[in-house]
Amino acid sequence: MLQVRNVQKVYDGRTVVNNVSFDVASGEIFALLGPNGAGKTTLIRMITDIVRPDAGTITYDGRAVGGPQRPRTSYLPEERGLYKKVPVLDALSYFGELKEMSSGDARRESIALLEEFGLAAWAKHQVSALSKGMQQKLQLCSALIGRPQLLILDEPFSGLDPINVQVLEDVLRRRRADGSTVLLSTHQMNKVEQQCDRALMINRGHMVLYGKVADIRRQYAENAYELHVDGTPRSVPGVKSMSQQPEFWQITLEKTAHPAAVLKALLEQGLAVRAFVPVVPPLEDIFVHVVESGAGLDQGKSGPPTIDDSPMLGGVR
Amino acid sequence: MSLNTKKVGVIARREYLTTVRRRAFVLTLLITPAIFFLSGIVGTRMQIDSALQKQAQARFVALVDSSGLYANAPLTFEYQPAVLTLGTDPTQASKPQVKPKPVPVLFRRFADQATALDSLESGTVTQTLVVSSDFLESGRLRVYEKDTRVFTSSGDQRPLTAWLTQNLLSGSIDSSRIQRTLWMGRGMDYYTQDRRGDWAVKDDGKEIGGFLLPFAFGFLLVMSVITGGQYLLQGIAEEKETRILESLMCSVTADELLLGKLLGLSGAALTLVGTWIVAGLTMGGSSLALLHIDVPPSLLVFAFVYFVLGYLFYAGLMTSIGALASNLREATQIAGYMTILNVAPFWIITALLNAPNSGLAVGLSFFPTTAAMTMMLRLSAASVSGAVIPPWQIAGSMIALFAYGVLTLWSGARLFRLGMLLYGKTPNLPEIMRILRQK
Repeated sequence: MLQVRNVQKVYDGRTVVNNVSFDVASGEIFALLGPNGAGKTTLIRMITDIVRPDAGTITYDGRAVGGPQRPRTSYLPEERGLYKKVPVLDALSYFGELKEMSSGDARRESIALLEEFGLAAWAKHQVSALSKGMQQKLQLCSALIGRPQLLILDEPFSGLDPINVQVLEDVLRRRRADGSTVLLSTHQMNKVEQQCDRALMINRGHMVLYGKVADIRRQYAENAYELHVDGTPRSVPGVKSMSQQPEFWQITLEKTAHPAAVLKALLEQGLAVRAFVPVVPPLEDIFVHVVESGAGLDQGKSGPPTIDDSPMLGGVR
Repeated sequence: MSLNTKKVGVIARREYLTTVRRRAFVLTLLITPAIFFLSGIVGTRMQIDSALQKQAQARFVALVDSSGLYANAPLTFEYQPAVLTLGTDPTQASKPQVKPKPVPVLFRRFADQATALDSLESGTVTQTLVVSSDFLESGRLRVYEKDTRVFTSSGDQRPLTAWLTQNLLSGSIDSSRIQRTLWMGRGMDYYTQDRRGDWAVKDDGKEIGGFLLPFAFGFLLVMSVITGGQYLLQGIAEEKETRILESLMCSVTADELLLGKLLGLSGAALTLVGTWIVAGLTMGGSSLALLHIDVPPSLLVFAFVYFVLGYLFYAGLMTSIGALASNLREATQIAGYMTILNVAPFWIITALLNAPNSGLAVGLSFFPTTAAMTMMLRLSAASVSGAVIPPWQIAGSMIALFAYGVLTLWSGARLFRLGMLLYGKTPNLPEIMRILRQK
């Protein structure tokens, strides 16, 4: 398990990471979110021991990430690159050997990864001969080789075609099943919703959201429901407002209203109800709201706001 | 600092193999000695051949003797050039020396200078010799010759000098005294004290041989610094330009990466220079053997120590430059200035060799960029001349150079780890200091 505790980093008197704490369990895909300049890269560089925190600790399975027993870590940075004038297989095997694989094992796993990502035919070509998309896949392979315990991927889906996006999603799921700790930094919120178990959002170095992705979305939901129904429903007790949408009715309930009671009242109207589902805002809307409102920044306290502190989103869905 | 030697080995192997397999490496390996061979050996050979050819040519001299001192002198003369030797080689002593062919000199008298010069113009003669009327008092002589070669201001007038001397003294003294007068310098042995304090014949050839070591050392250090530094700059610029460093540093520490690069790229540079040396020794070994280079073993030990320390200092310096410069071109430019500082002792080599314990020599022995080269020049000069370099200066310069090396390598490692993340930007001095202080 990756444990980040009260980590702080100051550059030129400016606190770029401010008292951040979170855990990422083994077998979990965890999203690290935040607007540009929020401090995500600095946080990742501290986790990978490229820079050291001014305060706080970062451990993996109880051992310091910068210590002699550092975990097998792979990092695919957003600003990424490859050695260009070497054969593809050699470039990949080199990363394997640096993860303490034997030369033979590194080549075997390289070949397997190249096959998985459809690059096997290019194994003996120079890296510079690959297209941009192929290089992107090769960079992913370089992060995946060596069965890392801690896998940190920054915008891994960018530049991939839909087929390779699926391949990567499949690989990530398998790595999770194998017990790897996966830290995913991305602005593609739909991928976070699909892939990640939990998420941390930082803004201006502060933690502003932290928890299960589903819980965060639910917490930011209005007490609203989509009613898919044949006919026109009449208002019932507990309903604050109703508005007709092209495919359904959006019903906003009073804070004290019970959804089951409202549904029962609607059914009693003799309507053929096909679906009655809570409206959960997409993570993207929550992201925009939190950043624009500066939520969680004003308290000057450490740690993320509790679920109860989180402001409700008005009118987002 | 704990280092994973296996990872260091993987990095070193990769850097070495990638470098030596490059086409540019193979071309440098072959072309550089070819250039040296052509410019050095062939060029020198051509120069010598040209001089010997000129010397062996018969001389047709228009003589204008205004003094009358040579009125009865014979107009034909054979000049015998001396046998050229460099050093003394006992193994060659039994072999008969081949004397150069005598040079025929033919004189033709002219009444006045104008007619003689007309004859020179028309090509009837190759030289015009004018002996002034007051020659005995003033010693004034004039030689006219059509010579299009450069750097031959005085030419080779030994045949004329020999004829003039012989015929000036003829009749006054016997022929053996004339010969002794002509060959006076050749029989004089010049004794100086060797480094053990014993009187010994000063052997110029041997001295030249003694100085070959510092020159070889200088060549090795300069070429290693240039090639190794260039490889380090390229290797580090590659990490920076390909932005691969952050991915690598999850698996290896900056120190492991730096050490691996240092070993691999230095190995490639030494392979290059070593190959040139082996090739040079193979081709020119027999010539070197003739010089009987008597190098004290301690000098070889010092050469090795100074080479390692000097190389480490420059390697650290090149790493720092590579990590800080925004691109390879900028890095190469800055590194060029450092290389110039490295060869600075050669600019004042005569001063260093003649006065190895001067204040300047001592000062340069403690200056980071010149310490290794200066000390080798001083020690070599001392080994030949018998001068004594104070041991504290040797120890002090080694300690200082070691400290400079540690400092530059430490700075290089820090700048490598943190400065490398400054993509496309060259930090200024305050920023460099901040990086060095940063965690």
